[in-house]
Amino acid sequence: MGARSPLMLKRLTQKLSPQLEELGFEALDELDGVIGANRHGVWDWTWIRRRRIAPSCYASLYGWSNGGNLLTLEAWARLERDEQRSLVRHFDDVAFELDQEVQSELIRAMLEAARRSAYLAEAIVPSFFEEEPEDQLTGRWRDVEIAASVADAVHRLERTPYQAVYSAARELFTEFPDQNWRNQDVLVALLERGFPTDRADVNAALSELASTEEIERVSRGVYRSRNR
Amino acid sequence: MLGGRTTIAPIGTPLRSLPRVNNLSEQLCDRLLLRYLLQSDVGTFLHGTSEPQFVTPTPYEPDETIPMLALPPSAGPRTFVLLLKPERLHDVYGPRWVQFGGGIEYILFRGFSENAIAHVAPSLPDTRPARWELEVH
Repeated sequence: MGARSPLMLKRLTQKLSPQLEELGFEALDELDGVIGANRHGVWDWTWIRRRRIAPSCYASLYGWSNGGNLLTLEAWARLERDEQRSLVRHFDDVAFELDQEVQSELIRAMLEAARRSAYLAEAIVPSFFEEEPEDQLTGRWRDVEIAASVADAVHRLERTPYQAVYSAARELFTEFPDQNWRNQDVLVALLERGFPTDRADVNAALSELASTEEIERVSRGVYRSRNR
Repeated sequence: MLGGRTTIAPIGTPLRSLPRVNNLSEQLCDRLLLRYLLQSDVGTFLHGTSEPQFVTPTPYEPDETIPMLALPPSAGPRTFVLLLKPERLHDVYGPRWVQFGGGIEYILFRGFSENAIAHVAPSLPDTRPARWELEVH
């Protein structure tokens, strides 16, 4: 597509936005009526449905040129930091003009992406469930149940400001310098300590602590203190 | 690292809630911003663009661009990049953590002009400025 996005795609996203708003989504990157931006060669139109304690849902439409006058388009359903994602539709060799049939298919795909992302949010099951020894299963489910029950209890409370989440997360690593922490472990610990927060802020705090080198990433989604 | 204890907005912060950046060079400690490109886009941005763009201050290897910049895998890793001079950029919002990625992004809401593209070689007399994409290895 080069420097300019196809006009028909822009018009389509303007048509799509109100339909997604009915499902509780809003355009993530919208200013002065302009939706989306070019993400390093791919046009990215993303809508987000925020959930107070549970992870936010995302429905994204991506488009890029094949080098000629044809496009590749994809509709994705996602959950927070891509821990769960689902490609809903992939369209190859779409003409820039987008005939009526393609437009209808795209709208259907994006509405499906929005619905599916909410399903992903409800379907959080530890992927290691089947491989864990039985004596550890109880502990893992306990974490999920605690998070869910505390979330139910705190959803009416004032959400902890991000800076306080950051400080509390930092404190955890100071208190337990030899422990490996997953994002979920930090969330549960903060909830148990009376910091109503969500995975988005926990993820941001962990990334910021890693960027300032106070903690290190052991593997994807697992961190530990650098001060051991 | 970003300078001056810059606050990086969490994932999911909408564009309209992001701060408009007035001290971009200071935040970046005079580093350049990077706008990665698909091979098919090489040559099409050398006169700038007025459309909104995501950019990042962090250099990545091609294989890192997909996960760190939250790019759809089907489009392939990025093997070309344009370097942009922060002092020539306007209407910049951010920074924000990249959704689904691990990197940092700014949004150039009105794109960038031709003269925001950094020179990548000394200009010779009587020739056009040496502004073009670099290949990423």
